[in-house]
Amino acid sequence: MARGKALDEEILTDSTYYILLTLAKPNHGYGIMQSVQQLSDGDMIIGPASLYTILKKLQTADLIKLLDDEDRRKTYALTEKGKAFLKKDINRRMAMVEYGKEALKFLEEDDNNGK
Amino acid sequence: MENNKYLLNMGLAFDEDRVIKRLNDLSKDGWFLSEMTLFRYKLIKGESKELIYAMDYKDLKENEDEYFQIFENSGWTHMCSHGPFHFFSALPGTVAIYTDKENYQEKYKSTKGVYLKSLIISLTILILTSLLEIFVDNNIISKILFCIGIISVAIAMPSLMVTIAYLIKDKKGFKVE
Repeated sequence: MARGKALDEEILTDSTYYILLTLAKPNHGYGIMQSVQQLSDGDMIIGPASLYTILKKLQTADLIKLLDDEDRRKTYALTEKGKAFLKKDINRRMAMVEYGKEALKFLEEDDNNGK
Repeated sequence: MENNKYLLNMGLAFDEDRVIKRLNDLSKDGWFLSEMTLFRYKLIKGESKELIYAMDYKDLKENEDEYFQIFENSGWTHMCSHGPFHFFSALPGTVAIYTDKENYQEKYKSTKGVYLKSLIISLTILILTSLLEIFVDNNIISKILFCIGIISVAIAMPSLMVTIAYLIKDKKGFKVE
């Protein structure tokens, strides 16, 4: 099924990745939105419909959970599964950046030789 | 009457874009959406200010407060809902309600699925009753079959139109404002 496809394939979209990052500390819906914006220096902005849909999907996939209600606002936190999942994805992305750095070096050398 | 205005609801599958544009324009004249029914949109008169509208499709079971609160916090005011259709408005320049392609497309996928299912079921019934009618001699039974056939056509036609409308929308795709 198409629903939650990105999660099944264990590859997170950038929006989902940022949301999970901000949930390293428990946070509520609006807090997540603000933290994502701060964390990414305003590069990544998530609209409310996208956020709500992603939060639902992450709950269904058992990567995040709702903490017991203290006040009216709902607080989300990573589950154990979510923590493992996020760590794996951070490492995957770090490896990708490392390969990228090597490629960048070659590209820049190329540029310099060309001049 | 002068404080209310009505727009015809021609089905959101067909004219979501038109309705949204119309509502955006009418806000400049001071008309604001207050209610949606199967047949029409009701607008009420207020002080004119420019707004942008957005519609989301979401089957809310529990957690309703959470859904509307997330919108409210990001600057989108809930105007009205009709079943799974929810209308919001915001000041120009507010971040769009969908900021990623994947989830935006799912908004339409979930509605499209319902119509596709009713199309397939009604067509199947239509074919079965037509086949049965060939073999049935009994007058009453063939009349009943005829009625069932008519009903399934009545369901199949609009389902087909909506499904096609969504297919066209799919092709047009996602635009980031």
